[in-house]
Amino acid sequence: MTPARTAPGFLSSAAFRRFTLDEYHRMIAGGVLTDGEPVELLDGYLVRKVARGTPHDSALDELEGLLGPLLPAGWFLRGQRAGTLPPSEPEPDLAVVRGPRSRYRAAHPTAADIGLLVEVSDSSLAIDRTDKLVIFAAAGVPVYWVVNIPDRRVEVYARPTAGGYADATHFAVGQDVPVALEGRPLGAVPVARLFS
Amino acid sequence: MSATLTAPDPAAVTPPLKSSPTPPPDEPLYGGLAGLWRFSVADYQAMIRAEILGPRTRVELLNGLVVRVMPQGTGHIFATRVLTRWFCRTLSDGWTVGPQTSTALTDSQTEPDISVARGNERMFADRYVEAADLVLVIEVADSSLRRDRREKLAIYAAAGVPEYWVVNVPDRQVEVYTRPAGDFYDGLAAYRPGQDVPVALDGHAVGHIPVADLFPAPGPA
Repeated sequence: MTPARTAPGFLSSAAFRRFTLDEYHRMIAGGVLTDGEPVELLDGYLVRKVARGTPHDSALDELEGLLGPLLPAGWFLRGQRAGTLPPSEPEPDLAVVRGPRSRYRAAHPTAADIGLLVEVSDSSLAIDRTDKLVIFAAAGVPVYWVVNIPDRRVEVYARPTAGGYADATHFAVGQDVPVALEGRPLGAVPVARLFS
Repeated sequence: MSATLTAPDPAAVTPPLKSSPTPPPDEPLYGGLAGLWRFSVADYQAMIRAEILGPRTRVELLNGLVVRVMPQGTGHIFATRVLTRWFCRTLSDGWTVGPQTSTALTDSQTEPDISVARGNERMFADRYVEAADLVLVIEVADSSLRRDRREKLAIYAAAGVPEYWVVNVPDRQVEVYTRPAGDFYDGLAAYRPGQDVPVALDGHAVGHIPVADLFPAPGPA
């Protein structure tokens, strides 16, 4: 469990009844939360997903187009699908995960299946850079990209630890973000392509 | 600047974490309260029926958020017992007294320490007490004082509960809130030891409760 930082609003965080992964799955199975409900489980809290703007979706389209061809056999891209990172089940914008696709019929990918996670961040920047970053790092997701729309840059976080990532590198428009899986270089993504 | 995007080398994964953004301590978690998912009362009841929430902790639904019921101190338990006995002994069969019983309101399902509803128990054999049934709600407050005076008060006022008491254990007083208006009460009277709280249900006087009976004797000054 990642440390609870501050109270979400009027009640202390200690007052909230956090949900387990099992409870969350039973809410979905029981129809309390239906498919497509814009919500994800973060550290036991049910958090609404922030509405996305066109710069967000367009950057995501571009990134899918650029990353896809770089991936070696045995890996594939998943867009806005759940990953199980106990006690969280986030739905990141993009994940590079191990294949084959049939691997995830009964269970979502876990950190061991994930090579790279990406969040494209406009209004969700604060959550993506703090709360989600800690969740991904604590789960052991090896590399995490924040495509930072307001600041027009890509932030690459690597070397996960229990409290965050030990490495952070920012790539501005004009630079290329190197792409690697399990230490194997695969190519690069030009930052300028992601921002209009 | 370049980044080597390697898988984590266990030997290399050590603090310090100078590079990760460290959130300021007062930055709200997950975008704050507005970011949290809220359940409807129907969803909450469905979760209770499906035993999704389970017996692990006592909870209630406040404005769509599932929160833990605060643990009770001895002062809380004492006042609740005295009030339960008083109401059960005093009220006729036409009223239902609920000690720590769920009441279903709009977007909330609370478990007030005492609730008094119109009608006998048979009326509520297969449904929860709802806002329209309630004539009086009492919350005994020790550690929960802030929640009872703010969030709960707003919930009961908005639901139209005509009278709401906060039995304030730390300050040894009974706060009687009347005339709900929006999410607040226009009327407030506080009663202290030596005084009696008048009890009236739907405008009919049914008795008085001595405030001193609700609190343990004060210790030596």
